[in-house]
Amino acid sequence: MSAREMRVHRFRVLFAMQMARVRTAWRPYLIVSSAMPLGIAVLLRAVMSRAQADIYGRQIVAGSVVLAIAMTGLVMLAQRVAALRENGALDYYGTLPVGRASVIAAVLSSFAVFSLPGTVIVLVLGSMLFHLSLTAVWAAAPVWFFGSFALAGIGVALGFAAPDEQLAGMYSNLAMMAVLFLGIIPAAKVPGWLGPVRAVLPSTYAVDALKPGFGGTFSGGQVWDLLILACFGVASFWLVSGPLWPSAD
Amino acid sequence: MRHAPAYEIRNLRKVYDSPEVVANDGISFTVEPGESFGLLGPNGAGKSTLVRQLVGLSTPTSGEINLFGEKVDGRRQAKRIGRTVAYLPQGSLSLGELKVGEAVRYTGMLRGCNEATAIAETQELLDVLTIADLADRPIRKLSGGQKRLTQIAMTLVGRLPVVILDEPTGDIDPALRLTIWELVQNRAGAGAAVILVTHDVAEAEHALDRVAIMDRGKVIAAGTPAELKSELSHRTRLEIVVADGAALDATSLAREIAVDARVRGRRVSAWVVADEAIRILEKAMAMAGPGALEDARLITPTLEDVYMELRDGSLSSEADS
Repeated sequence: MSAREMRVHRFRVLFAMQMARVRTAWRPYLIVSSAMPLGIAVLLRAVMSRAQADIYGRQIVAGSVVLAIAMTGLVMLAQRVAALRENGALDYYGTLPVGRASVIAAVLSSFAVFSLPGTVIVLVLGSMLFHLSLTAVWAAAPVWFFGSFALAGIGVALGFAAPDEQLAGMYSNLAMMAVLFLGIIPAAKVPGWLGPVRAVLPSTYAVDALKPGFGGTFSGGQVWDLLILACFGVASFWLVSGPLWPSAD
Repeated sequence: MRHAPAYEIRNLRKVYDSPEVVANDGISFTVEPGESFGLLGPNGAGKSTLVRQLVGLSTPTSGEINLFGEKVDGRRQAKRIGRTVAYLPQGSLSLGELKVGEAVRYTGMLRGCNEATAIAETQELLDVLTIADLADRPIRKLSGGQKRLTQIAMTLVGRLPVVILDEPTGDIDPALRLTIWELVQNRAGAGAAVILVTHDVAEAEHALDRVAIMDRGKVIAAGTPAELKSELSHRTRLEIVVADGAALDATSLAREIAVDARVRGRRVSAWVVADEAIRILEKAMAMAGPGALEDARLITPTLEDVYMELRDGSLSSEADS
């Protein structure tokens, strides 16, 4: 095998190892990633008039879809990574001829896949709830792809930083709260002092990239948002496979 | 490159900060291809810290590690170490979602085996380790011993030229331990360098070509088991058990045998000069009279005796004097 073939071969094995988690955890992943975002969308629709739903529907559904991605890629992944670190799995990979980048890529890819069913469920049911066009499905694909990588990068970083799995859950829930409020609340209604927080969260760009899709429109702004999301993904990937990787000492 | 030692460690030192703990202090040794080399020592002697540096999981504070003649220099060498060294850590097995067969096969594939080779090696190892019937069981559902056997299979798959095993047989039943030693010795016989970390000295004695005994971060003795035992060859251990209900008192008997004889219940144990051992035993039997001794034996020093004497400091004091 050439060096490139060997890299692909090893990535496939690492990805298959991560996907083994599906056997035991697909139900909780599906339920957790879809239940809360969908519940929030239902709650907000229930307290809104039809006119308000028409005004805020796109923001709420786009925010809920990104929240579904964050529930898996941020909250559950942070806990998973903390558990991997605690039980020595990182040492296991550290003594094999595989790069950290390959391990991280496999972990991120698997969690992107885990987040897909919940994302689709929230997108479809949320759109039906607020009478939005399902033309957003095409717009959701790149948002899911780039958004899950960017948010999962934060999830991995929190998992590395937390002393244990329980604290990783707490840290990631705090991060998820930011995604929730700053994603679902329209930018105009967010207090000014939260503006910088909004600007450094990849979820902001994911929501902004997804919203116009519900109207079936496509603009340069969306491309720009997706580019920023991709940059977040690349930066977080570099950080967690390099400087943020926990020291064995 | 293959003419170089598998590992050459020079003056290795590892110091942890806050609080400052010297885990390894000036350690030097070599391990040749085809050799089984043991690191013996009590808990906290620095054995596991040492092997974590050998596999690149921890960085030495100072000193040098050469793997087949090339310097191992932290993270930059991680992939080279991974292609050369198989490591069984001391801790329990992670990757609980994987099935036993998958864990072994995937490990082989990550080491560069193609799938067919990995499957064949996996089957062979699971058969030898008597866990073939567990191949489709998730690791999280295994007992402690079964997990350890799975880890051993994961370590041996891929047939790497260096194998490092940290306390491999702790949870394994005695019959299977022999199988594992045979497996490890076969690997050494086939040219692999095997480094074994253990505090089970009896196992080390028949499984290892050479051993280094560690204590408080330092190597306090090194050599073949025979060389180390020769340190005690001028002495013989006398073990006597006084019969239950005998009129003879074990403490009085001990005083007659040797000044530093130890008494534990009815058991008397003493190191005596080898040339006088038979005379002292006869004296003890005569003193006790018929039927007063339940057991009496003279024992040639074992590696365990050397280890215990080194640990207690009596051998090093003899050497100093």
